[in-house]
Amino acid sequence: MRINRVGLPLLLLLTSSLFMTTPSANGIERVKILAGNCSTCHGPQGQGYEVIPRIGGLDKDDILKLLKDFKSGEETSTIMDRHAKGYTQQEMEQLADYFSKME
Amino acid sequence: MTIKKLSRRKFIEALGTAGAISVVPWLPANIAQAKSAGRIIIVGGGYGGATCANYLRQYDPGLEVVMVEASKKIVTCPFSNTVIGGIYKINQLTHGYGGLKKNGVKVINDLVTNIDPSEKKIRLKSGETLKYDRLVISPGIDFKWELIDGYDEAASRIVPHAWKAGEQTVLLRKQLEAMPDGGKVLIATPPKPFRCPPGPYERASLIAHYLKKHKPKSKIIILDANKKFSKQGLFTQGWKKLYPGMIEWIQGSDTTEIESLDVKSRVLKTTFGQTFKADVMNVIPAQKAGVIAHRTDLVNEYGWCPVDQRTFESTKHKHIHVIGDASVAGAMPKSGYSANSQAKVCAAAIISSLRSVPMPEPAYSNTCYSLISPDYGISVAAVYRLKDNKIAKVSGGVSPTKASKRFRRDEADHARDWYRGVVEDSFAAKVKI
Ligand SMILES: Cc1cc2nc3c(=O)[nH]c(=O)nc-3n(C[C@H](O)[C@H](O)[C@H](O)COP(=O)(O)OP(=O)(O)OC[C@H]3O[C@@H](n4cnc5c(N)ncnc54)[C@H](O)[C@@H]3O)c2cc1C
Ligand code: HEC
Repeated sequence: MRINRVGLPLLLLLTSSLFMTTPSANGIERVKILAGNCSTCHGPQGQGYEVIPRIGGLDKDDILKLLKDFKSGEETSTIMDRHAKGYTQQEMEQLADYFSKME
Repeated sequence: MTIKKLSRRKFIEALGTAGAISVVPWLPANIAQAKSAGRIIIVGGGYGGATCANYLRQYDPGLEVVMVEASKKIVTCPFSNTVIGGIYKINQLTHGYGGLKKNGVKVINDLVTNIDPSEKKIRLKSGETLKYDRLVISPGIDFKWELIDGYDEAASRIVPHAWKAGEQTVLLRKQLEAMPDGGKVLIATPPKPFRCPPGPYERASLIAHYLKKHKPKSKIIILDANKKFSKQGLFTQGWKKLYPGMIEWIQGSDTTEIESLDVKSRVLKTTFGQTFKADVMNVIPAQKAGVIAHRTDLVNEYGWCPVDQRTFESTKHKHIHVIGDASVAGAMPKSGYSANSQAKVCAAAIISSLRSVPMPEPAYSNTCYSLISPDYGISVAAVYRLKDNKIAKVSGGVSPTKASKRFRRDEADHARDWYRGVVEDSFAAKVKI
């Protein structure tokens, strides 16, 4: 198939728009999978319970700092160190962003 | 970055991290609305099944999700050892499916008797048949009764296993209440793998907690089928501290198995020729995937269901996913938390497949809290990823051996909160403990 000069940019625009729609409209964001590993203790809305603290709606930077400090050991914990070590810096940022936006 | 340099998949991933991009107005509505057509049926409304149903609806509120569960209400195995130890009542661990129904899950209270993978339909005990596009089964475990001479379902109403919560749990509790001070309790553990690796030892602990207060001259024997057990160092340390001299652990060996059990006289014989007699016996038989998995030819030679560990799709039948205790899930133990975690990954896999988009890279997790007493908790935790198509541990471990009283008490509090959390997350139900 030959694509003329006008057609190529148009085709690119078309296909790229289609691709762009795909992740937001059709895919499941990966952070939801990651956050699913937290809701069993912190609650489906990150609301917390009697002693396990609320994380939903906290400041994004605060969550991120706590997660990093649990991972490094700077912040003492009973169990968060063992969980935090399982995530990369980028994943922690995504998690912090996700929970900061919860009610 | 240009599109040409990136594969479609990489491009989508890059976009995913860059953030959501709104729908272009001229797209046809069916693409824009992100609905996945199809009916998903879930067999079993325990930890795996209920979580999967709940999250399928959460990820895609337009999806038809039907869950078939044999019982009207679920009695959870997690925390059932506290009932045996006299701390909570069984009704506090009993939850309905109202929350799931509110979230749009169609709940059918019936037994699935047959699955036809080629026709993609299931048959219920009531006679009804239902077609599916994807099937998820989370039937939990059943027992290899044939391995112990004299032990079967009927015999378990005299010598309980209490490895499925409900009547069995209450029966064991009643027998402990009726036992005189100075009595002997025997717990026989199953060979690995079995559901809830720390479960038998938590049970011994909470029985000891009860006996110490009410029948302090009594003894507990754990007749183990295995050479070592989960959180062994921590349990042993806790027993020494809280129940000195009360719990005796008899190590298993490769050559010794339980040969027979006479439930009337409560006498158990091993293949090594030893005989054990006790006032209260709790025999936990060897396990396999729930019978419906066997009937559907979803199992391997050991009686468990092999799956693609990324999607939990059976390697034996297409479009059937197996999660929870019944599945072979790499390094993950058979726990309620694991089943909950697998269910979420499975839900994402199914929706991605129905929409023909790549699924997000999975991450899984587990934590098993155990109570040695109501104020003394220990844990084992892990985060897992897929490595060479197998679920492998990337972080985690057990509670520290050196820890303050406060630390142990905090973990006991966390255990109760975990129970509140996992029940709400899985069954959309509120816990009153
Ligand atoms: C004493 C004890 C303590 C435990 N403590 C913990 C703990 O503290 N933490 C933890 O994480 N895990 C714990 N567990 C383990 C946990 O209970 C299991 O790992 C978990 O229940 C597995 O979930 P599942 O969905 O695979 O099976 P289940 O939860 O057993 O659910 C299976 C469901 O399927 C239904 N079903 C089966 N076949 C059919 C059919 N053909 N038709 C219709 N319905 C069907 C059954 O009725 C059942 O409700 C414990 C287990 C025990 C025994
Ligand atoms: C097994 C239970 C459990 C799981 C799973 C868990 N947490 Fe925690 N979390 C706790 C406990 C308990 C604490 C209190 C610190 C401690 O003792 O470890 C805590 C504390 C925190 C805090 C500090 C809150 C504050 O204000 O002090 C953050 C942030 C947090 N968790 C985030 C997460 C994220 C994100 C995940 C998922 C990746 C997660 N947690 C998974 C149990 C859990």
